[in-house]
Amino acid sequence: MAISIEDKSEGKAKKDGENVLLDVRNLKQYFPVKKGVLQQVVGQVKAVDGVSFRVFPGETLGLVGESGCGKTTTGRSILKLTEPTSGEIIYKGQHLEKLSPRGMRPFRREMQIIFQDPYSSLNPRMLVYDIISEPIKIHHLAEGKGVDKRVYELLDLVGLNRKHAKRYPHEFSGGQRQRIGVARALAVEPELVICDEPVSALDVSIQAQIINLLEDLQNELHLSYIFIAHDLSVVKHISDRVAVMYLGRIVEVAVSSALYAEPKHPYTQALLSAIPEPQVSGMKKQRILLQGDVPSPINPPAGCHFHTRCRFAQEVCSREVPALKDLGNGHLAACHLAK
Amino acid sequence: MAEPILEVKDLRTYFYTEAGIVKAVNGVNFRLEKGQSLGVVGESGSGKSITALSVMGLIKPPGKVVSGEILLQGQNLLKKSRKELEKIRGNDIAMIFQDPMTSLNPVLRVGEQIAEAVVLHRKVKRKEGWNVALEMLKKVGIPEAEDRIRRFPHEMSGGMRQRVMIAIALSCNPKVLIADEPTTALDVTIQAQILDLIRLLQKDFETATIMITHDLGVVAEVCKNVMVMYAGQPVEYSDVTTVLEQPKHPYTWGLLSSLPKLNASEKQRLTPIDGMPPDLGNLPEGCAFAPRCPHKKPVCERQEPAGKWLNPGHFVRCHLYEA
Repeated sequence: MAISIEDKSEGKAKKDGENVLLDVRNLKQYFPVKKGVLQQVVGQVKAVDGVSFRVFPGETLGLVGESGCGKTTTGRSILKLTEPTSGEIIYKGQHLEKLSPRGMRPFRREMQIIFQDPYSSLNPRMLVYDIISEPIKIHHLAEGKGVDKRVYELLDLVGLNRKHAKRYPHEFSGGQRQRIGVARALAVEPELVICDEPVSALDVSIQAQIINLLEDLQNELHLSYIFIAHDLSVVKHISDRVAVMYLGRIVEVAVSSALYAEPKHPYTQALLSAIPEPQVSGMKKQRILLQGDVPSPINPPAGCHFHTRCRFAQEVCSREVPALKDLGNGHLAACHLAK
Repeated sequence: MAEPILEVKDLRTYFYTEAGIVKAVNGVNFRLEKGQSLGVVGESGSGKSITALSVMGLIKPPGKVVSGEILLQGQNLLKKSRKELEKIRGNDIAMIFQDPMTSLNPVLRVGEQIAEAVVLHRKVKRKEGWNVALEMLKKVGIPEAEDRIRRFPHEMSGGMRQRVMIAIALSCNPKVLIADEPTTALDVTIQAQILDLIRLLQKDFETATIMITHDLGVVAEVCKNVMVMYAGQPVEYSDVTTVLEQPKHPYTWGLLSSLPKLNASEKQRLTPIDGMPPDLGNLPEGCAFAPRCPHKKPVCERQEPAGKWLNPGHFVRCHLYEA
């Protein structure tokens, strides 16, 4: 069985090889829960529980969801920062999940990540110059004077001053540190950048500066982004397509404007209606209040994970896992009742 | 105008650090009537939290309230002794904080924490305190309150913990409730539940609320009036509709245009505010916002704008409207 799936996917990858940059299939990432003196495994946290999506060159795929839905873990497993439990990660037709750490190295140059917290993701004892030049040296992308030139180019690119190269991270504000993080990611000329909540820690006025920077860089360098965030307005703004996650699974994928105009999954509907908007008059949207909290990923509800909080839940929802099905125009939703 | 419950006049709170004097709050004025809700909006370092802590009398050295008046029903809190303040805090003014995990005691059952406040302020027996605690937990919408009252904070989710915080704050029926970013640490669906609760309790208890937040969306949901702060000063004050729809201060314009719009059909480029907030220990001469302001005039860099009431309900501190 496993072999036949493999065959099919290989064939497909060859066919679409040119226009799919990243193809993630049924990705699972479980973490063991250990207990007692003997550290026996008593359960598993199903952080990512069968996630599939594709990223096309030059596009931004938004990944949204509430805390604990597995969006960050998904990003980290794609880069194999944690070894995925199962599933396929196909980058330009290459199966990454089978590669050894050494085999991953050339791909690490092509796939980069920008982290949420610009305070803890930069080494406080390194000069900005060293932070940005380290990946250039490791990947032998330049030598001697060439390294200096490249570092200054990158500083210009992200809107920092050249004299900032000789300073330490603590001398910068949050927004500037995030620019350093962006420069470090771009130092190796990646094609795919995973942005893990890159603006969540920033004030709104600075947040807009970084969002504009990311958009400009995408146009200039033809980057593809996987943009992970919990702020739905930011995700809507920056993404071409958006995938909504709930308890380790994708519940809906659609073109950004379609998802926000016509959400199909009851969870997406509730999530969108919960966003407080800075407007008073005009159309006030109907709020759908979800009861209770997100269930534990150690013991998620059977069937559709969302059925315990869903206002439309029926008997079938607690029994069968809904498949992610196409409802037309590439709008996918995993709900038994969605049409 | 009705008699205000709380009135703050020319409040200034400075921090005396080795690097110099940091003017965290630099001349704040506002008044709050019974049952009213005031939103205080600003970015980090704008002085919104320090304003709240000053009102609560919780400023510790090197910080100091250097001038101003904080009048709670006509009585100046800055003239009160520590003993007197302890009675007022929790009883007349209560506060809820951003992070419900660190502001609850991890080794006390939640019922104990609510009852403690009630026993202290209302001078009742412990048993009676527990009864009030149970009643409060039910009021803030905690399911199975009889069971949850014996739980510890770590056994609850973030949303539940914030409900417990609200229960503690409202247990003595305060006249003023200060909420400092009460939903920032929560997910949107949980945030919606808590905002709904705060709105409901505003009506039920007729508590005057000060809601401190960086999120203009939250303000639109729960506040009647808004004060926008920048570098320790209010730069604009009005009712929420005016501030969101007809703002006058360039900083408010900048804040609103920095936000991605959820209902925009076309993709529009965001318009950020250039530069960074100023160093509060080294404020520029003139208007603090001038270095980032796209509308600045020569006078802005020389002279601080005094502020002006454009009409009885709309205050703006900007040279564009002075003269």
